[in-house]
Amino acid sequence: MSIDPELRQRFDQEAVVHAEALYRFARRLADSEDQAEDLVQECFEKALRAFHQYKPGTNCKSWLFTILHNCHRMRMRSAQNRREILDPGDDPKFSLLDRLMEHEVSSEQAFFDATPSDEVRQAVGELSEALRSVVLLSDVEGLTYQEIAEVLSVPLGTVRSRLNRARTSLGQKLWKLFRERVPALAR
Amino acid sequence: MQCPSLDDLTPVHLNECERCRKLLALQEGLRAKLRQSEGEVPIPQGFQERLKARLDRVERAPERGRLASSGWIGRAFRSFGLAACLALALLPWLTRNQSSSFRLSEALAEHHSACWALPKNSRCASDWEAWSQAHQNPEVPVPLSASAGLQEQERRICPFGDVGKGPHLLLHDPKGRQASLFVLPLAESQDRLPKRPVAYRIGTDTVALWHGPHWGFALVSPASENETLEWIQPALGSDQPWLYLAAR
Ligand SMILES: [Zn+2]
Ligand SMILES: [Zn+2]
Repeated sequence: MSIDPELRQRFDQEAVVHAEALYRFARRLADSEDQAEDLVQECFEKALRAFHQYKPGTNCKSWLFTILHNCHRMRMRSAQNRREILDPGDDPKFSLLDRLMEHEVSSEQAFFDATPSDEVRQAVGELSEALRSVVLLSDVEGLTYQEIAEVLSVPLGTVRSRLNRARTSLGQKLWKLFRERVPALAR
Repeated sequence: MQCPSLDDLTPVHLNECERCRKLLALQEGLRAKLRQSEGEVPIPQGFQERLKARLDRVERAPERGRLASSGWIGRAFRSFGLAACLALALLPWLTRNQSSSFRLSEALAEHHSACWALPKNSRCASDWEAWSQAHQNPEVPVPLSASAGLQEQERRICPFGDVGKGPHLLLHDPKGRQASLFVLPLAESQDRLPKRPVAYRIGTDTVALWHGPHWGFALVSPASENETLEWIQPALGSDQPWLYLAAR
C-alpha cells in the first residue's frame, strides 16, 4: 500500500512546514549537521507513514517534536540511563535581575542588546540536554508545558522545574560572558 | 511580600510589585533573544529538496518491512552512494536465502522502532478495544506484573505494514530499555513462526520468534541473541508469555 496522494498533500501543508524548526531543534540534539538532518528525515518518514493516525485539530508541530525526540532517544538508547548532571558552575539561587541592578546596567534591554547571538547559542549549548530541550521547546518553539511534557515524556512539574533551572543557568552563563566582555560596565 | 512564581502572576500582583514586573520583562527579553539567536542557526543547502525526495520515496514505496531495501539494510546502503546502487541491484541475490521468518523479523524490528517513535496519544494506541471486539476470544489482555522483569508501558494495534494484525505491547526491560512483544494470531502467520524459538540480530535489536498453542509471539529486545533466548525460555509453551516474561 503506498501513501494516498491527498494525504501526502495534507502532510506537506500541515507537517512539512515545520521542517526547519525541527531541524534547528535536531541540530541542538545531534553532534553534527548530517546527523541532525538524518534525524529530521527519519522523523518525517515515520510521521508520514503514521499520518493517517494523526488527529486533526491537535498540535501537529508538537506531534512532530514528539516523534523527533523519540527517534533521538531510540538512537541514544545506550545512553538512556545516563544520569542528568547539573552544570557544576550552576548556582540555583543566581538572579540575573539582582546582578543587573547591583551593577547598574540600565535595563534588561541594554543587557540583551550588548549580548551577541553566538554567545546566547554558546550558553544554550552548554546546558545539559534535558534543560536545553525544555528551554528550546518552550521559549523558542512556543509549546505549552503540557505539550512539552508529552514530547519529552516527563511529568508536568518536571517541565516547570527544568525550565526554571534552565533559565537561571542561562542567565548565569550570559552574565559571565557579559562580564568578560564589558568589564567596565559590570565589575 | 511573598511573590508567586512567574507562571502564576496575577494582574493585581503585577500592578503592585515592581520586582515581578522587572523579572517578567527580563524573562521576555531572554525569550526574544533566544528566538532570535536560535533562528540564526543555518539550514543546510538543499535540506528541503532532500527531505522532499525522501518523502517522495516513502509515498511510492510499498509497506514498510516488506522490502528489505526500505529497512535498515536499505538505509545502510543509501549512505554508501554509488556502491549502494550496485549493492541494491545485488540485494535480491543476497537475500535470496533468507527465510520468510527473517523477513518478518525485519518488519517487526522496523515496526518496533517506528511505533516507539509515535506519540502516546496517537490513535493506534486506542484501537485495542476495537481489535478485541473484532476477534473472538481474545485471551490476550493480561497485564504484565509491575514488580519484576519486563514492564508493560502501552498496548496498541500495530499501525504499520503486515505486522498489523495483532496487539503490540510496548515494554521496558529491567534496565529501562525499550522492548516490544508482538502477539500474532497463529492462523495468520503460522508458516513464519517456528515452535522452537529462533533469534535474529536486526540492526541494534534482537528479534526472537516462537509460537504457543494458539498465538504467535515475537520479542524485540535490545539484548543479545543469547540473552533474549534465555529470557523467553520460561514463557515457551504458554499462550500468555508476558506472565512468564514479567515473572523473571
Ligand atoms: Zn512580586
Ligand atoms: Zn505497534
